[in-house]
Amino acid sequence: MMAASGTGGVKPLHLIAVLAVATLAAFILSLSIGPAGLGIGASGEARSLIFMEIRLPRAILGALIGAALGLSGAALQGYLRNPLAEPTLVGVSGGAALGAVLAIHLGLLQVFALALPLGGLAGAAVAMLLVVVLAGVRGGPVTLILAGLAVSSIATALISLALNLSQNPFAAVEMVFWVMGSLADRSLTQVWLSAPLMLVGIGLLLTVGRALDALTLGEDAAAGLGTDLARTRLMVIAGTALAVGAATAVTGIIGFVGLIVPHALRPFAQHRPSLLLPASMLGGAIMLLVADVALRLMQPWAELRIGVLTALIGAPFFVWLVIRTRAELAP
Amino acid sequence: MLAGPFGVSSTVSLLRRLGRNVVVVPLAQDLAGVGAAVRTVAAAVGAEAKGEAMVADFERRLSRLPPPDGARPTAVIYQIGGAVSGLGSLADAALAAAGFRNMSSVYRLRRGGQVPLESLVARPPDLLVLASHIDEYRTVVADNLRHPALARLRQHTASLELPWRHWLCGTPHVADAIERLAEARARLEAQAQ
Repeated sequence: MMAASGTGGVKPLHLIAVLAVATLAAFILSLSIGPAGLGIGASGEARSLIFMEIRLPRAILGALIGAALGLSGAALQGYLRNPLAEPTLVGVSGGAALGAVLAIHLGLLQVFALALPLGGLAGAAVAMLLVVVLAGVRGGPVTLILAGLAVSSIATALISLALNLSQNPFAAVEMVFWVMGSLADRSLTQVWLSAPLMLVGIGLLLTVGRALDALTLGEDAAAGLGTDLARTRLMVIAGTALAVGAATAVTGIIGFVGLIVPHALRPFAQHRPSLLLPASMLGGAIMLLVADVALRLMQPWAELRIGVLTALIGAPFFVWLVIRTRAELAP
Repeated sequence: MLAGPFGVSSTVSLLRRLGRNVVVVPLAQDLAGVGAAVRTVAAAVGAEAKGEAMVADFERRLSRLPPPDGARPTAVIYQIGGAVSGLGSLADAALAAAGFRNMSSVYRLRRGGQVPLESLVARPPDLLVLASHIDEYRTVVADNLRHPALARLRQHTASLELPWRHWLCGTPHVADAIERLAEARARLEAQAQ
């Protein structure tokens, strides 16, 4: 890929260790901040309720979902060799939200609770396959974004249609929930529903590091080095669908984490996907936890939506990336 | 033809140009507004006497409520997505008529808005009013009503389910809601003694 930068001196283990410590610190910070403050009155009951049932699930989901988004962004960028690839921009998050909405409004959720994350997973997988078919694995950055835009638009339109047909008086509120995700008032129920699938997805994505390292030399060279390209593709698609599908099903779409984090960490990871993957996983967790803490500090008495904040940070970054990519692609 | 006051004004003027008789019913934001809305509809359908009887019955029911004396307990109308009815709404007027103080301002809300569940648990009201049954809406935006922390809170905070469809709009059915709220206040006071 690009030439090694001046920060290439960071040792892999040091990078991971620093990020792991920062993740832990962000997790503890998230547990200690909330509208009720740290000293939650005299009642031990209310205190334990707030920590165990409200802040703990929020911190767990923030860490896991951030990890899922950061890691899948890094994996997609590495596998598609495309700096603009990201779960939201390639339509995977939109597909996941559509799958979750369908699981709810077709009544599957009444039959079994796992229908929600499984719906998200199915929607994410379909969207991912559609984009790969539309853009082709060898398609350029622009083709991929256009295909992602098409899939996202279809998914958003279908979510809106499903909510309108459901005769639900809260359709508008629910539309906002899905399009701009939120960690507000989530409970351990949602953790149990989504965490196992997210962890499996994260596990699958972490196995493709070496294959992605080889892929930086091109497909033929990678095959020559003994990389199983079909298996890598399956792992990336399945891992992303599991991680992003389960994440989106419980919080709605949280965009741009998968775009910002790998780009911010790539110089420190010496442009090596095998190091960038775990680094982006931790970096994504840090970013989402810190963003969630910032939201609660800015306006502790009301719930701002975290999807709004990540989009406000991410969209200008995306524009900058597009300009840079255009300059690189220019003849 | 009856119409509401919001969002349909161009439709109303179109219908009027077509020669249809359209009556715009004011949306009641307080208890006096309920009587006005009933009278408007009654006049439109030529049943003034029936309308007056309905308003008189409504006012008689309100006058029979126990007077809001001394310390007024606090209440919160907690809804889907953590929304809370704020000051100046019909729901706020109903709480006041039943002798409650709307606690929404304690959560730094003026005209309603969303309250994080954590704030509710940290500073619970004397009475928690739920405007929907917890299983009424299976969608994610109603997850806050099924939150385990809310269930635990309800174990030691008085709560009342008053489904919106009975009293969201300014009809005389609001009296049912106020009577049930007043009963809840009486129970709270009996417990306190």
